[in-house]
Amino acid sequence: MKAGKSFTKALSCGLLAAAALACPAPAAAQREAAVLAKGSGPYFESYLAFQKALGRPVTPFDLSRGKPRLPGDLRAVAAFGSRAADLKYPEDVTVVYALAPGFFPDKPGRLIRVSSLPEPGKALAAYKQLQPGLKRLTVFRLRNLSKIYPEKLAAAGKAAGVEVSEVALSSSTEFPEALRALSGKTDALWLFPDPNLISKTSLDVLAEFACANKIPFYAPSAGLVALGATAAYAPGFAETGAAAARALQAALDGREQPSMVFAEASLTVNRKAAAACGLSLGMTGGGQ
Amino acid sequence: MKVRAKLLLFLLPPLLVSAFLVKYLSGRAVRGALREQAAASARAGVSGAIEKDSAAFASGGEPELLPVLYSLKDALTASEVFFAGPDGAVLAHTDVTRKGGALAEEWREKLLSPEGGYEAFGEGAGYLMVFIPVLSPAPKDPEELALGSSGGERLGTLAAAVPLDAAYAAERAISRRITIILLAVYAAILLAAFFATGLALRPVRLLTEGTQRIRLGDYGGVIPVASQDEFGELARSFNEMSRTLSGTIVSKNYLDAVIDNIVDILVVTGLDGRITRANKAALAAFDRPAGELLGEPAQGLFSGEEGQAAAWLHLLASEGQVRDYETRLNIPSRAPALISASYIRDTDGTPSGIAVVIRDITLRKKYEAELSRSNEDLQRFAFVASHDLQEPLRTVTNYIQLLENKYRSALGPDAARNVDFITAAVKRMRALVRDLLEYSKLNAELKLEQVDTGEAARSVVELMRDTFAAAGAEVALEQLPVIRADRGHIERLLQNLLSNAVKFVDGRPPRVTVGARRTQEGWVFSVADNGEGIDEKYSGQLFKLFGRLHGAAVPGAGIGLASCKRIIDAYGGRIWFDSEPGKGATFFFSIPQQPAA
Repeated sequence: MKAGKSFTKALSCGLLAAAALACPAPAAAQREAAVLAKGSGPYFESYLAFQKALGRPVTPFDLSRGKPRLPGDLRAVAAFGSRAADLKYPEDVTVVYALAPGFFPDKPGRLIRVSSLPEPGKALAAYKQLQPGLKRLTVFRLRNLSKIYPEKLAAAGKAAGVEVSEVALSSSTEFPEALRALSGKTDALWLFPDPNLISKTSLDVLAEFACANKIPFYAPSAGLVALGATAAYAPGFAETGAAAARALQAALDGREQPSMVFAEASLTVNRKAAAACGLSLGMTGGGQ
Repeated sequence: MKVRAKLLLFLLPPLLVSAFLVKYLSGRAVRGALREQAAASARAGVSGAIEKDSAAFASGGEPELLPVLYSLKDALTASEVFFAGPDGAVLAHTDVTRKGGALAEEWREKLLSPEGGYEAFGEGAGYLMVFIPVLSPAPKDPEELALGSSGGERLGTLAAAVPLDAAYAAERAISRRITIILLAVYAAILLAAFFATGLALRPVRLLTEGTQRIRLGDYGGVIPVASQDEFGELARSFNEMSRTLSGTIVSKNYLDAVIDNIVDILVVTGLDGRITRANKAALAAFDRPAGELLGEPAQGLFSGEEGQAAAWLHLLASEGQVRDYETRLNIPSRAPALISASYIRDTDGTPSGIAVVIRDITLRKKYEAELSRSNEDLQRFAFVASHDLQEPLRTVTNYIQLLENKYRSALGPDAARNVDFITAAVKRMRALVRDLLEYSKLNAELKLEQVDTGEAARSVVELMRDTFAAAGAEVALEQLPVIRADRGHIERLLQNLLSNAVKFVDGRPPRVTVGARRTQEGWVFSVADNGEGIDEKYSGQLFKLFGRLHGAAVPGAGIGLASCKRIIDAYGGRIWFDSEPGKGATFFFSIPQQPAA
């Protein structure tokens, strides 16, 4: 019954949004807008949650349909997806971008990132709760990733008593070599959400390695847990949309806020995979 | 233990062994087949990928191979998949840490085998490592084909560890079915055995019922003969036995009736002398119910000291039988009785009991006593009469002779002849009286002594010398024995028989032979003559008192042979003759061995 209600709700929202996307944008009277890399999938799901959290309709623009004609008096934009974030916006417009894990802007501006990663302290607390013996955590990130999050994570790890090691890779093909070097030297693996590192093979390699070494493999998103990961503590699309809404509203209100904000995250556990690998997880409930 | 239980015990071990063998062998066969099937399935699943991703295998690079291996791992639900080069080195493994690692020796052989193979491994052999040779595909480029490149070069070996869960599940299912089938078959066998035993035992059951009927007294019952086999033969034998038993039981009842109705007392004892059965005469004689009499020692039935009362038992033990042992019953009247006893023997001759017949001879004793008294009176009368008659006869004779001598001349010839008649008659009467006197003197009381019968015979011959001489007789005496007897009796016997031998002649000079021989009934004496002989038909009256065969022409009163018989009877022997008219006669008499003094 619950699933049925969710489906009905999503369908009705989808129809509304589709109707909104199909209409020409009335640019003159709006101070905020939403730009979606694609008007479907996670971007659209996140956008719906964004609009709901904001409490009013926000005109969406689908980049897959062409370059949008943004309103002239625009003050803030919520961009969903790297392509949407990378769009040229007026300099006085605050851009809150989300669902763009591989996008790191090289130009200064009024950019606020809704991180695809969870808040470091909470993430470590969640993993510690799941894996009380966690002492050494290895995170895999793209070599050219911003240092902001790794630094925050290292600080949180120090506070939590977890040694966080970074393995910076250029591509997913480097996983085997990197893992062979890690054998027996880490208590858990955590893959950051980056399209360049995430592939079916890389997930298989990580899951297989983790299983063979009887250590958990934490995936970058709940959706990837089903592909063999042990668990994932990550924000969902809806939570990301809600966080973007909060950041957008703060920008419209003229409030100061950091360049990176975090969405609420939740823990998803693949108990079947954990059991198959002989892992005993300290946390009960949840998971798949 | 019942036959069915024995059959079950007999059947169970082979059934269990066969069940174990069937389970074990079928399990092995099924397991082998399922592993072969799992390996074949894995090879089939892999062959497409090998062909499709031949470039990856040809490159041998880990990045190229890993996607293929993971894809195969998912497709085969394998626990691990790896690809090894022609030299056996692991080029890529789904567990990336095992790249370049060493393989177990037993795996290397199959890994490098041209045909590949499979090997079960893991805890409980839960996985099957399937080795599939990977060959380079045939080139599609016509130019390469034209240049002679045909492919088929060994690129390496793909190995996949496929789980055997499904195979084992199938094996368990098959095993369960085999078990069910075995149980069903064995249950059918046991049921069949159960019912077959019931059918086979039906004749035995009928036989048992038949014996029970016999036990309950239904003798002569028969059971149906339903087959011609051994059971049928057994049933026929049983029916025959039943019929025989029925006849036997009827005879027993008949015997019981006879025993209970005979006048004599009959008791049956065990070998220990205790009474096991007593007839009605016994109960009446001892005036005791059967319950009291049974179990009592048989010697208690007789009066006297213990040893005396049981003397007949000792005699039975020593002689094997007892005949007319005289004793007295242990009743107030102490009635005289005769005991006859013998052993009751089994079919194999083993004594199993003693049958004792006790005859109350009170009446007989009474009659004997009366008879004895009567005989004594008669004897006394005969003695007195014959003795007292002698005197008047002597007086008559004397006066006749006086008259004859004094008045012969005056009487005349007729009177003289009459006097002769009177004289002769008186003489015969005197002889008769004398013989009667002798007969009456014969006493049943024997004065036994060792008698040389030869000497006694010679004495008789000497005594009768004038008689023999007058008759011209010749008497021959054979070797005669010394026996225990009354000498007077022996002499009287011989005198009477020799007298007869020379008396009844056919004109020839008498030839008499006296002999004796030992037989089972004692010494048998014979007196043979060549006289006129005797017709067999007179044998009945010959030995009776006054039993004469001749007229007055032949002297004698018919008392001699009667006297002989009386003497012989006193010894328990017998007297008889063997003769034919004109061929002489031989008289025999037997004298049994008499008890020592």
